[in-house]
Amino acid sequence: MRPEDEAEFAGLVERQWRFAYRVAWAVLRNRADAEDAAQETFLKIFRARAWRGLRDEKAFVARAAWRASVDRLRDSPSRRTPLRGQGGTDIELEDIADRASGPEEIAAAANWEAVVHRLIDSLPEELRQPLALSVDLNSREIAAAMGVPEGTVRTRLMRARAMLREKITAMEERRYAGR
Amino acid sequence: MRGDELIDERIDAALLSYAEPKEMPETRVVVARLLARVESESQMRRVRWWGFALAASCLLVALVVGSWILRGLRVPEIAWAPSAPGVVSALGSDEERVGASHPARAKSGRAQDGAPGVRVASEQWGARLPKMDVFPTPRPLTAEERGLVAFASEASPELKKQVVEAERHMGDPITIAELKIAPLASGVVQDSKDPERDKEK
Repeated sequence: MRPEDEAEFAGLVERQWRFAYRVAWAVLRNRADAEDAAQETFLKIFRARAWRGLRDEKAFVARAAWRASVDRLRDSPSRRTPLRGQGGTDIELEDIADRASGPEEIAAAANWEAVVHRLIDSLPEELRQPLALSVDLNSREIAAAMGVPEGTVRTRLMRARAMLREKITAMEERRYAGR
Repeated sequence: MRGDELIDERIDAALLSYAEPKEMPETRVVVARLLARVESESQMRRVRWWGFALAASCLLVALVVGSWILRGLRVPEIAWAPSAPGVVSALGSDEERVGASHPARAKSGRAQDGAPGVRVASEQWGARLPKMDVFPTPRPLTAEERGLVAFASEASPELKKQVVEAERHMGDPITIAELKIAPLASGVVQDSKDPERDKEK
Protein backbone atom coordinates (compact mmCIF):
# COMPACT_ATOMS: atom_id res chain seq x y z
CA MET A 1 0.00 0.00 0.00
CA ARG A 2 1.44 3.33 -1.04
CA PRO A 3 1.78 6.04 1.64
CA GLU A 4 -0.49 8.44 -0.23
CA ASP A 5 -3.18 5.75 -0.53
CA GLU A 6 -2.84 4.97 3.14
CA ALA A 7 -3.22 8.65 4.06
CA GLU A 8 -6.22 9.03 1.77
CA PHE A 9 -7.91 5.93 3.14
CA ALA A 10 -7.16 6.94 6.72
CA GLY A 11 -8.72 10.33 6.00
CA LEU A 12 -11.89 8.70 4.72
CA VAL A 13 -12.12 6.49 7.82
CA GLU A 14 -11.59 9.47 10.11
CA ARG A 15 -14.28 11.48 8.33
CA GLN A 16 -16.91 8.78 8.01
CA TRP A 17 -16.28 6.28 10.79
CA ARG A 18 -18.82 7.72 13.21
CA PHE A 19 -21.45 7.94 10.52
CA ALA A 20 -20.87 4.35 9.33
CA TYR A 21 -21.01 3.15 12.90
CA ARG A 22 -24.31 4.98 13.50
CA VAL A 23 -25.86 3.41 10.41
CA ALA A 24 -24.70 -0.03 11.52
CA TRP A 25 -25.93 0.65 15.02
CA ALA A 26 -29.35 1.70 13.70
CA VAL A 27 -29.69 -1.64 11.94
CA LEU A 28 -28.01 -4.02 14.37
CA ARG A 29 -28.51 -2.35 17.78
CA ASN A 30 -25.47 -4.17 19.13
CA ARG A 31 -22.11 -2.59 19.87
CA ALA A 32 -19.85 -5.46 18.74
CA ASP A 33 -21.88 -6.21 15.63
CA ALA A 34 -22.08 -2.55 14.69
CA GLU A 35 -18.33 -2.16 15.09
CA ASP A 36 -17.66 -5.25 12.97
CA ALA A 37 -20.11 -4.11 10.30
CA ALA A 38 -18.61 -0.62 10.18
CA GLN A 39 -15.10 -2.05 9.87
CA GLU A 40 -16.27 -4.42 7.17
CA THR A 41 -17.74 -1.42 5.37
CA PHE A 42 -14.38 0.30 5.12
CA LEU A 43 -12.54 -2.89 4.27
CA LYS A 44 -14.93 -3.48 1.39
CA ILE A 45 -14.41 0.07 0.23
CA PHE A 46 -10.65 -0.44 0.42
CA ARG A 47 -10.69 -3.77 -1.40
CA ALA A 48 -12.80 -2.28 -4.18
CA ARG A 49 -10.42 0.72 -4.35
CA ALA A 50 -13.61 2.77 -4.28
CA TRP A 51 -12.57 5.61 -2.00
CA ARG A 52 -11.00 7.69 -4.74
CA GLY A 53 -13.08 10.29 -6.52
CA LEU A 54 -16.31 9.76 -4.62
CA ARG A 55 -18.95 12.26 -5.63
CA ASP A 56 -21.15 11.77 -2.56
CA GLU A 57 -18.97 10.23 0.09
CA LYS A 58 -21.64 10.19 2.77
CA ALA A 59 -24.25 8.48 0.62
CA PHE A 60 -21.69 5.94 -0.58
CA VAL A 61 -20.61 5.08 2.96
CA ALA A 62 -24.25 4.94 4.10
CA ARG A 63 -25.07 2.48 1.34
CA ALA A 64 -22.02 0.32 2.07
CA ALA A 65 -22.62 0.37 5.83
CA TRP A 66 -26.30 -0.46 5.50
CA ARG A 67 -25.45 -3.32 3.09
CA ALA A 68 -22.80 -4.73 5.44
CA SER A 69 -25.17 -4.48 8.42
CA VAL A 70 -28.06 -6.15 6.63
CA ASP A 71 -25.74 -8.93 5.43
CA ARG A 72 -24.61 -9.48 9.00
CA LEU A 73 -28.23 -9.47 10.16
CA ARG A 74 -29.16 -11.95 7.43
CA ASP A 75 -26.26 -14.27 8.25
CA SER A 76 -27.49 -14.52 11.81
CA PRO A 77 -31.08 -13.37 12.25
CA SER A 78 -30.88 -14.01 15.97
CA ARG A 79 -28.43 -11.14 16.39
CA ARG A 80 -31.25 -8.67 16.71
CA THR A 81 -34.55 -9.99 17.94
CA PRO A 82 -37.16 -7.28 17.97
CA LEU A 83 -39.50 -7.27 20.88
CA ARG A 84 -42.64 -9.15 20.07
CA GLY A 85 -45.84 -9.57 22.03
CA GLN A 86 -47.70 -12.75 22.70
CA GLY A 87 -48.32 -14.81 19.60
CA GLY A 88 -45.85 -12.87 17.50
CA THR A 89 -47.86 -9.64 17.47
CA ASP A 90 -46.24 -6.30 17.99
CA ILE A 91 -45.34 -5.35 21.50
CA GLU A 92 -48.18 -4.13 23.63
CA LEU A 93 -48.23 -1.88 26.61
CA GLU A 94 -48.61 -4.90 28.86
CA ASP A 95 -45.32 -6.33 27.59
CA ILE A 96 -43.54 -3.15 28.55
CA ALA A 97 -45.32 -3.01 31.83
CA ASP A 98 -44.37 -6.58 32.62
CA ARG A 99 -40.69 -5.81 32.07
CA ALA A 100 -40.80 -2.59 34.08
CA SER A 101 -42.21 -2.02 37.45
CA GLY A 102 -45.42 -0.85 35.77
CA PRO A 103 -46.70 1.86 33.47
CA GLU A 104 -47.26 4.22 36.32
CA GLU A 105 -43.73 3.89 37.53
CA ILE A 106 -42.37 4.45 34.02
CA ALA A 107 -44.57 7.50 33.57
CA ALA A 108 -43.73 8.78 37.00
CA ALA A 109 -40.04 8.51 36.25
CA ALA A 110 -40.66 10.30 32.96
CA ASN A 111 -38.82 7.48 31.30
CA TRP A 112 -40.67 7.97 28.11
CA GLU A 113 -37.57 7.51 26.04
CA ALA A 114 -37.12 3.98 27.22
CA VAL A 115 -40.74 3.22 26.46
CA VAL A 116 -40.51 4.71 22.98
CA HIS A 117 -37.26 2.83 22.34
CA ARG A 118 -39.00 -0.40 23.09
CA LEU A 119 -41.88 0.61 20.88
CA ILE A 120 -39.51 1.43 18.06
CA ASP A 121 -37.80 -1.93 18.53
CA SER A 122 -41.19 -3.58 18.19
CA LEU A 123 -41.76 -2.10 14.75
CA PRO A 124 -41.29 -4.29 11.67
CA GLU A 125 -37.75 -4.03 10.26
CA GLU A 126 -38.92 -2.39 7.05
CA LEU A 127 -40.34 0.45 9.15
CA ARG A 128 -37.83 0.53 11.97
CA GLN A 129 -34.71 0.85 9.81
CA PRO A 130 -35.77 3.97 7.85
CA LEU A 131 -37.04 5.52 11.05
CA ALA A 132 -33.73 4.94 12.82
CA LEU A 133 -31.77 6.17 9.80
CA SER A 134 -33.92 9.29 9.49
CA VAL A 135 -31.98 10.88 12.34
CA ASP A 136 -28.78 11.06 10.26
CA LEU A 137 -30.09 10.90 6.68
CA ASN A 138 -32.86 12.52 4.69
CA SER A 139 -35.37 10.53 2.67
CA ARG A 140 -33.31 10.63 -0.51
CA GLU A 141 -30.19 9.36 1.25
CA ILE A 142 -32.15 6.63 3.03
CA ALA A 143 -33.63 5.59 -0.31
CA ALA A 144 -30.17 5.44 -1.86
CA ALA A 145 -28.77 3.46 1.05
CA MET A 146 -31.61 0.94 1.17
CA GLY A 147 -32.02 0.72 -2.58
CA VAL A 148 -35.71 1.60 -2.57
CA PRO A 149 -37.58 4.54 -4.10
CA GLU A 150 -37.71 7.73 -2.11
CA GLY A 151 -41.52 7.65 -2.06
CA THR A 152 -41.39 4.25 -0.41
CA VAL A 153 -39.12 5.61 2.29
CA ARG A 154 -41.47 8.49 2.99
CA THR A 155 -44.44 6.14 3.17
CA ARG A 156 -42.61 3.87 5.56
CA LEU A 157 -41.57 6.77 7.75
CA MET A 158 -45.17 7.99 7.95
CA ARG A 159 -46.43 4.51 8.75
CA ALA A 160 -43.80 4.05 11.43
CA ARG A 161 -44.64 7.34 13.07
CA ALA A 162 -48.36 6.64 12.88
CA MET A 163 -47.90 3.26 14.53
CA LEU A 164 -45.80 4.78 17.28
CA ARG A 165 -48.30 7.56 17.82
CA GLU A 166 -51.13 5.07 18.01
CA LYS A 167 -49.31 2.91 20.53
CA ILE A 168 -48.31 5.83 22.70
CA THR A 169 -51.85 7.20 22.65
CA ALA A 170 -53.26 3.85 23.62
CA MET A 171 -50.68 3.54 26.36
CA GLU A 172 -51.55 6.95 27.77
CA GLU A 173 -55.27 6.27 27.63
CA ARG A 174 -54.78 3.11 29.64
CA ARG A 175 -52.59 4.93 32.05
CA TYR A 176 -55.21 7.59 32.71
CA ALA A 177 -57.97 5.00 32.79
CA GLY A 178 -56.11 3.13 35.48
CA ARG A 179 -56.02 6.13 37.80
CA MET B 1 -54.02 18.35 17.97
CA ARG B 2 -51.78 19.60 20.74
CA GLY B 3 -51.55 16.08 22.04
CA ASP B 4 -50.29 14.79 18.64
CA GLU B 5 -47.62 17.44 18.55
CA LEU B 6 -46.56 16.50 22.02
CA ILE B 7 -46.35 12.89 21.05
CA ASP B 8 -44.32 13.76 17.93
CA GLU B 9 -41.93 15.77 20.05
CA ARG B 10 -41.52 12.84 22.36
CA ILE B 11 -40.95 10.52 19.42
CA ASP B 12 -38.33 12.84 17.95
CA ALA B 13 -36.55 13.13 21.26
CA ALA B 14 -36.63 9.40 21.74
CA LEU B 15 -35.40 8.83 18.19
CA LEU B 16 -32.37 11.04 18.79
CA SER B 17 -31.33 8.98 21.77
CA TYR B 18 -32.33 5.77 19.96
CA ALA B 19 -29.96 6.46 17.08
CA GLU B 20 -27.14 7.58 19.31
CA PRO B 21 -24.84 4.66 20.14
CA LYS B 22 -24.16 4.29 23.82
CA GLU B 23 -20.46 3.57 23.27
CA MET B 24 -18.39 4.14 20.22
CA PRO B 25 -14.80 3.08 19.63
CA GLU B 26 -12.35 5.92 19.27
CA THR B 27 -11.76 6.94 15.70
CA ARG B 28 -7.96 6.85 15.89
CA VAL B 29 -8.08 3.35 17.38
CA VAL B 30 -10.37 2.22 14.60
CA VAL B 31 -8.17 3.84 11.96
CA ALA B 32 -5.09 2.09 13.33
CA ARG B 33 -6.95 -1.23 13.49
CA LEU B 34 -8.28 -0.87 9.96
CA LEU B 35 -4.89 0.07 8.56
CA ALA B 36 -3.35 -2.94 10.30
CA ARG B 37 -6.00 -5.21 8.77
CA VAL B 38 -5.52 -3.65 5.37
CA GLU B 39 -1.76 -4.16 5.64
CA SER B 40 -2.14 -7.79 6.72
CA GLU B 41 -4.56 -8.40 3.85
CA SER B 42 -2.07 -6.85 1.44
CA GLN B 43 0.66 -9.11 2.79
CA MET B 44 -1.59 -12.14 2.49
CA ARG B 45 -2.39 -11.14 -1.06
CA ARG B 46 1.32 -10.78 -1.81
CA VAL B 47 2.05 -14.19 -0.27
CA ARG B 48 -0.75 -15.74 -2.30
CA TRP B 49 0.54 -14.06 -5.45
CA TRP B 50 4.09 -15.27 -4.87
CA GLY B 51 2.84 -18.76 -4.14
CA PHE B 52 0.85 -18.75 -7.33
CA ALA B 53 3.82 -17.39 -9.28
CA LEU B 54 6.11 -20.04 -7.80
CA ALA B 55 3.67 -22.83 -8.60
CA ALA B 56 3.17 -21.52 -12.12
CA SER B 57 6.90 -21.27 -12.76
CA CYS B 58 7.46 -24.80 -11.36
CA LEU B 59 4.75 -26.07 -13.67
CA LEU B 60 6.33 -24.26 -16.59
CA VAL B 61 9.78 -25.69 -15.83
CA ALA B 62 8.27 -29.17 -15.50
CA LEU B 63 6.55 -28.77 -18.86
CA VAL B 64 9.75 -27.59 -20.53
CA VAL B 65 11.82 -30.40 -19.03
CA GLY B 66 9.16 -32.96 -19.90
CA SER B 67 8.93 -31.83 -23.49
CA TRP B 68 12.72 -31.80 -23.74
CA ILE B 69 12.93 -35.36 -22.44
CA LEU B 70 10.18 -36.51 -24.77
CA ARG B 71 11.92 -34.87 -27.71
CA GLY B 72 15.19 -36.56 -26.75
CA LEU B 73 13.54 -39.97 -26.73
CA ARG B 74 12.11 -39.52 -30.21
CA VAL B 75 13.79 -41.75 -32.83
CA PRO B 76 15.57 -39.83 -35.58
CA GLU B 77 14.34 -40.78 -39.03
CA ILE B 78 17.35 -41.45 -41.27
CA ALA B 79 16.44 -42.37 -44.81
CA TRP B 80 19.98 -42.84 -46.06
CA ALA B 81 23.28 -43.15 -44.30
CA PRO B 82 26.43 -42.44 -46.33
CA SER B 83 29.11 -45.13 -46.32
CA ALA B 84 31.97 -42.96 -47.35
CA PRO B 85 35.33 -43.85 -45.81
CA GLY B 86 35.80 -42.21 -42.47
CA VAL B 87 32.08 -41.70 -41.80
CA VAL B 88 30.83 -43.55 -38.78
CA SER B 89 27.08 -44.02 -38.53
CA ALA B 90 25.33 -43.59 -35.22
CA LEU B 91 23.20 -46.58 -36.05
CA GLY B 92 26.14 -48.97 -36.21
CA SER B 93 26.28 -51.72 -38.82
CA ASP B 94 24.66 -51.61 -42.22
CA GLU B 95 22.16 -54.22 -41.27
CA GLU B 96 20.97 -52.25 -38.24
CA ARG B 97 20.97 -49.08 -40.27
CA VAL B 98 18.80 -50.64 -42.92
CA GLY B 99 16.52 -51.91 -40.21
CA ALA B 100 16.07 -48.41 -38.88
CA SER B 101 15.80 -46.58 -42.15
CA HIS B 102 14.15 -48.92 -44.59
CA PRO B 103 10.41 -48.37 -44.34
CA ALA B 104 9.41 -51.87 -45.34
CA ARG B 105 11.94 -53.47 -43.03
CA ALA B 106 11.03 -51.22 -40.16
CA LYS B 107 7.34 -51.80 -40.74
CA SER B 108 7.69 -55.56 -40.77
CA GLY B 109 9.95 -55.38 -37.75
CA ARG B 110 7.37 -53.40 -35.81
CA ALA B 111 4.75 -55.90 -36.73
CA GLN B 112 6.92 -58.85 -35.64
CA ASP B 113 8.94 -57.93 -32.62
CA GLY B 114 8.20 -54.40 -31.69
CA ALA B 115 10.16 -52.19 -34.05
CA PRO B 116 13.72 -53.49 -34.04
CA GLY B 117 14.91 -50.51 -36.03
CA VAL B 118 13.57 -48.20 -33.41
CA ARG B 119 15.08 -50.31 -30.67
CA VAL B 120 18.52 -50.26 -32.27
CA ALA B 121 18.42 -46.53 -32.72
CA SER B 122 17.23 -45.98 -29.16
CA GLU B 123 19.92 -48.19 -27.67
CA GLN B 124 22.70 -46.47 -29.56
CA TRP B 125 21.32 -43.00 -29.08
CA GLY B 126 23.30 -42.49 -25.92
CA ALA B 127 26.53 -43.82 -27.53
CA ARG B 128 26.47 -41.34 -30.38
CA LEU B 129 29.92 -40.17 -31.42
CA PRO B 130 30.81 -36.53 -31.03
CA LYS B 131 30.10 -34.33 -33.99
CA MET B 132 33.32 -33.27 -35.76
CA ASP B 133 34.07 -30.05 -37.54
CA VAL B 134 35.16 -31.74 -40.81
CA PHE B 135 32.85 -34.06 -42.70
CA PRO B 136 33.66 -36.82 -43.36
CA THR B 137 35.81 -37.22 -40.31
CA PRO B 138 39.47 -37.72 -41.37
CA ARG B 139 41.36 -40.77 -40.22
CA PRO B 140 44.96 -42.06 -40.84
CA LEU B 141 45.58 -44.05 -44.06
CA THR B 142 46.05 -47.76 -43.90
CA ALA B 143 49.23 -49.43 -45.14
CA GLU B 144 47.52 -50.51 -48.36
CA GLU B 145 46.24 -47.01 -49.00
CA ARG B 146 49.73 -45.58 -48.37
CA GLY B 147 51.23 -48.08 -50.83
CA LEU B 148 48.63 -47.17 -53.42
CA VAL B 149 49.41 -43.46 -53.00
CA ALA B 150 53.16 -44.14 -53.36
CA PHE B 151 52.59 -46.23 -56.47
CA ALA B 152 50.39 -43.58 -58.04
CA SER B 153 52.94 -40.85 -57.44
CA GLU B 154 56.19 -42.67 -58.18
CA ALA B 155 55.52 -45.37 -60.79
CA SER B 156 56.29 -44.74 -64.46
CA PRO B 157 53.45 -44.36 -66.97
CA GLU B 158 54.38 -47.67 -68.64
CA LEU B 159 54.22 -49.49 -65.38
CA LYS B 160 50.90 -47.91 -64.56
CA LYS B 161 49.61 -48.92 -67.98
CA GLN B 162 50.79 -52.49 -67.40
CA VAL B 163 49.07 -52.55 -64.05
CA VAL B 164 45.89 -51.19 -65.54
CA GLU B 165 46.10 -53.73 -68.32
CA ALA B 166 46.73 -56.51 -65.86
CA GLU B 167 43.86 -55.42 -63.72
CA ARG B 168 41.61 -55.31 -66.74
CA HIS B 169 42.32 -58.99 -67.41
CA MET B 170 42.22 -59.99 -63.76
CA GLY B 171 38.67 -61.08 -64.07
CA ASP B 172 39.27 -63.21 -67.16
CA PRO B 173 38.99 -66.96 -66.74
CA ILE B 174 42.28 -68.74 -66.35
CA THR B 175 43.12 -70.95 -69.31
CA ILE B 176 45.69 -73.69 -69.00
CA ALA B 177 47.29 -74.95 -72.20
CA GLU B 178 46.79 -78.59 -72.88
CA LEU B 179 49.79 -80.75 -72.02
CA LYS B 180 51.15 -82.84 -74.89
CA ILE B 181 53.44 -85.69 -73.84
CA ALA B 182 54.71 -87.93 -76.53
CA PRO B 183 54.67 -91.65 -75.70
CA LEU B 184 58.02 -93.37 -75.12
CA ALA B 185 59.14 -95.80 -77.90
CA SER B 186 60.31 -99.21 -76.47
CA GLY B 187 63.91 -100.44 -77.43
CA VAL B 188 64.80 -97.37 -79.22
CA VAL B 189 67.32 -95.14 -77.71
CA GLN B 190 66.67 -91.67 -78.62
CA ASP B 191 69.48 -89.50 -79.68
CA SER B 192 70.54 -87.21 -77.07
CA LYS B 193 71.83 -83.83 -77.76
CA ASP B 194 73.93 -83.92 -74.63
CA PRO B 195 77.42 -85.29 -75.57
CA GLU B 196 78.53 -85.56 -71.97
CA ARG B 197 75.71 -87.90 -71.16
CA ASP B 198 76.43 -89.95 -74.19
CA LYS B 199 80.03 -90.39 -73.12
CA GLU B 200 79.08 -91.68 -69.71
CA LYS B 201 76.84 -94.22 -71.32
